[in-house]
Amino acid sequence: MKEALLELREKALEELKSLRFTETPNLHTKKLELFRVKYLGRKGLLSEYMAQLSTLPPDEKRVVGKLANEIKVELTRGLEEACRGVLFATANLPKARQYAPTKVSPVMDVSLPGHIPPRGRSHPLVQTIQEIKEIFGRMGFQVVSGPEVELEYYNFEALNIPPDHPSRDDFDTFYIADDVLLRSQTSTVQIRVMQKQKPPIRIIAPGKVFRPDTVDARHSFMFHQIEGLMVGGSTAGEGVNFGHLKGVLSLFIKTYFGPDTRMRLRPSFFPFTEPSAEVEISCSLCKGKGCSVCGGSGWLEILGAGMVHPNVFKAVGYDPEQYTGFAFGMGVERIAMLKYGIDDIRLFFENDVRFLAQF
Amino acid sequence: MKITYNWLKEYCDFRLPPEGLAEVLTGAGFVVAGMRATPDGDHGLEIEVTSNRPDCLGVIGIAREVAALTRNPLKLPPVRYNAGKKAVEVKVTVEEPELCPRYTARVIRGVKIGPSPAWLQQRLEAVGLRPINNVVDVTNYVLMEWSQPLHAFDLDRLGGKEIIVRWALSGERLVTIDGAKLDLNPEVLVIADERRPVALAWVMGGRDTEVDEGTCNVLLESARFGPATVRRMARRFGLKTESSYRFERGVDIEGVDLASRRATALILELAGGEAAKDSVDVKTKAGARCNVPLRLTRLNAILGTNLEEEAVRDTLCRLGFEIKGGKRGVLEVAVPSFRGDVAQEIDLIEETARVYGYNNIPTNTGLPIHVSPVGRQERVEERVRGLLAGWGFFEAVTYSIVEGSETGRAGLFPGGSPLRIRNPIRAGEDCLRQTLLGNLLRAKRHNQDHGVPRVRLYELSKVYLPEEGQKLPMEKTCLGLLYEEDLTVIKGQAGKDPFYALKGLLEGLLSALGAKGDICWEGLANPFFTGERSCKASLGGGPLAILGEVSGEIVKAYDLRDTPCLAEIDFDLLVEKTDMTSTFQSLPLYPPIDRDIAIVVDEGVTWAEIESCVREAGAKFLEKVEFFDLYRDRSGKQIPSGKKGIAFSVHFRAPDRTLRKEEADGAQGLIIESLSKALGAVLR
Repeated sequence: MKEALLELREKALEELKSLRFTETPNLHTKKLELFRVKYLGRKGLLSEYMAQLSTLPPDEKRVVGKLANEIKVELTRGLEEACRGVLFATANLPKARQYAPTKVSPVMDVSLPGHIPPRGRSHPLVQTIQEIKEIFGRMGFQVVSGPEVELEYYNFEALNIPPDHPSRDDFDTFYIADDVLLRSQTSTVQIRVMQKQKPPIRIIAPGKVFRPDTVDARHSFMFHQIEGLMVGGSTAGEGVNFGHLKGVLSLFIKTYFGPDTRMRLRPSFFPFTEPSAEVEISCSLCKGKGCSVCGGSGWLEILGAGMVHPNVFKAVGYDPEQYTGFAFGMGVERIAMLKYGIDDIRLFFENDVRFLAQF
Repeated sequence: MKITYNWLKEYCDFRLPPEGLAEVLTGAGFVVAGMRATPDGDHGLEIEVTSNRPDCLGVIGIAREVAALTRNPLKLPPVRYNAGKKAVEVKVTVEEPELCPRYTARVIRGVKIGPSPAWLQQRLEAVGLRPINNVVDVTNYVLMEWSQPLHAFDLDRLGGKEIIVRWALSGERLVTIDGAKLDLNPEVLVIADERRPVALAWVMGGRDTEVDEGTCNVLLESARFGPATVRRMARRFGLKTESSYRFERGVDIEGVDLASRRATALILELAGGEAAKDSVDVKTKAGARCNVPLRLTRLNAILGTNLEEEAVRDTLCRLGFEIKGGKRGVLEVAVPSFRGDVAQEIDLIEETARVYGYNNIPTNTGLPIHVSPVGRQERVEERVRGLLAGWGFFEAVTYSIVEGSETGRAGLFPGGSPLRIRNPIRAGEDCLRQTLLGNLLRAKRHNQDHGVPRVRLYELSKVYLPEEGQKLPMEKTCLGLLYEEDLTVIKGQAGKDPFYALKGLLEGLLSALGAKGDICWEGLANPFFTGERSCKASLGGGPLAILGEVSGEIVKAYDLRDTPCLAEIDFDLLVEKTDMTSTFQSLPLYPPIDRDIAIVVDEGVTWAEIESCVREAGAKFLEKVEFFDLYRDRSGKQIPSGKKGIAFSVHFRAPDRTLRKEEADGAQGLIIESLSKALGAVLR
């Protein structure tokens, strides 16, 4: 009898398989109903075997009874699946026994969107700062900060910019009082750090700076800079030179802008560094061929740098014979604009969520 | 600064096309920002000269650079002329020798004023100057060539035969050559004749004494004035001229006379006349040549190079420096008078590096290892930013400078008069903010006006609090939050009360940061908020935060369509109280017994009172008290008006055994009794 049951199962499953590919729903449901009656109905084949169970010896009865039950479950499930196969998915499948071919249950639509949890972002400028911090952090640079409202001394004199010096033209500044101003550069932090700490020093200082520029697509009276400073010296092999400056900056540039980015330096003038350099990278957009972003030159200015001027060391009480170092500074907005292709600096400060959500 | 290609070629015979020249100059720090072919087949070059190089504000200075960079000889223009027999017959008195260390005057008599020859006019036009007449054009030509300002007076219009460099007197006036009428005062340095000021020293000449068609005799002035004085005066009168620009940066004290000679020679050539046999030269300060020793070891230590002495010597010589021997490994360098920017060894190191080429200096990535830990502030910021992003907040960055009208409302920190900027770019926008809340509302408004109806924004930034007796304000980092329910949430469900939603976010933040200390919530009166729907929190006794739903008045003031909730948090305090280290606690071995308790109390009874009453009831094994429902019955049927229903659960647990039901019953009874006695609570 066990063999007979297994044979019945084979046959039924075969039949069920063929039922999956019926053309019209009506025909399909009809055929399914016939199948149900034939195998699972009250007078169906399976019921017939069940009825005979009582005639078997107890041991066999248990085994065969179990098998019959398993087959019943299997066929019922198969029938449900066959029914779903045509109707797509039905939420509340009728039990095979109460199978009602004419009713169509609500249909699950898995293509409906899920419930997406809200997701905010940090500001693109903050993201840019984070990324830059991370790269320098791996080179051992520590993040520090300094006041935004500063004494004139830190913004100018200590940085080797005497009063009435023409280089002050490059640093138009908001004043609060005669000797109190809104810092126009993050280089102020160099001084504050060196006053407190002896070399070796490796710091970067991100922060806001202010200059009385009229606001347009490229200018803002408030923007962000990241200042970097590395000072070493006194013992052999600890000295920091121009080659190290190039090394650190090239590592940064290749990490941030991509390994194929080229870097070049040209002489420039900043009162607090000497030799001073303007650092350019090959235009990421045109790969150096020349385009509108780089003004056709193939190169983009991205930061200013140089060896710390001996006068700056003197101002903080370092012996310039004993210590050497380099400093650099970059504009965060400019870098973010280049990296993301943003064409108007004002977007950073409007805080339009449609803008913020892009980063 | 503008020069032309052919002009430059007169003084240095280099073999580079204009593009190649531009590249070489840019690479040496003189950025060629523009290049344009001129009608006469020349090329005009626009060169950016950094403020430390006034010597390069003339063709000769640039020619000297090109000569050094391309290793070609420099050819200076002739400065000799044939003098006549007559003496100068002009006296010069410099009353302020400190501010005018050198003043020269030459006299050319019998000139014939007329237009300049075409070549001269074309050159001037190519560098952006308007040709006027042969004498004036020569002074401008030599200015652009030598970077030395010159001025030609009509000798016959000068009152008396004396030139005086002095402070102006109160009430004196001067009409400049471009027609501006200036009121002078004793803080203005002028060139005067016996009667009156005839020029501002050395910003601009006066109209009365200018050279025009009727001029016959010319007094040619060439001088040096103190940079700071000129800078102050140019700024005061808002006059920025080619002359003032150069004086501010410093002109060569030797060049004063050379340029005067050169101009005299050119005037004689182009306008005829006869030069006086002598000249006046008042030189109060000798052009002290400074000698700077340069150590080769130092040079290579700064640059990270291995340059040879010979190469360094050659480079410096080509730039016009003289090497006076010195010891082995040390060059004694005599700095020429036109290089006022070079005074220290480091300046010579830069000169060498510049000509050697920054891009030829070897890049060195072999830095010693140096480990810096991530700071506490940074770690807290990172965690907070992560949490807020996960909760749907966008970070805003807003201006620290706000309008004065915005500062009337204090946020977390009590206002007071804000710091004001003396020179704002827009009138009224001159205050440093003392709260982030106003700016967040404006950002909300911007979004509302651009089709984003609901937003969650935060800003993590500074506010500036003036401190009594301190020059610098206290800069406090604050976290500002602007919260609104999601539109979809509002549509779909009844929605949470945004006040409690924001309070919950703040509590979640504190918990995520492991903030140490007791948090205490109290009511608040603040102009941003609706009276009762706002509160303040203190942490360990210090004010930590304010929070609430904005008032109708604020909604109106910012023209909002919704009523957002705001919070402002003292981030510095949060960082201080944060403890992000985790400590393991063993998991409980025995199950708890949980009981729900529903009571009715007067409206005035707070959850804080109920909670502390529960905790202090003396119930043993009490582990946790959790609020879960507040219920009011408008009909007054189930709960009388003036009362409210509160439901909470209590969890009891014994640490060492399974708690018996009777023990929990006893403890629960104690709690209910205590609530009834202390707060008049009735079981529902």
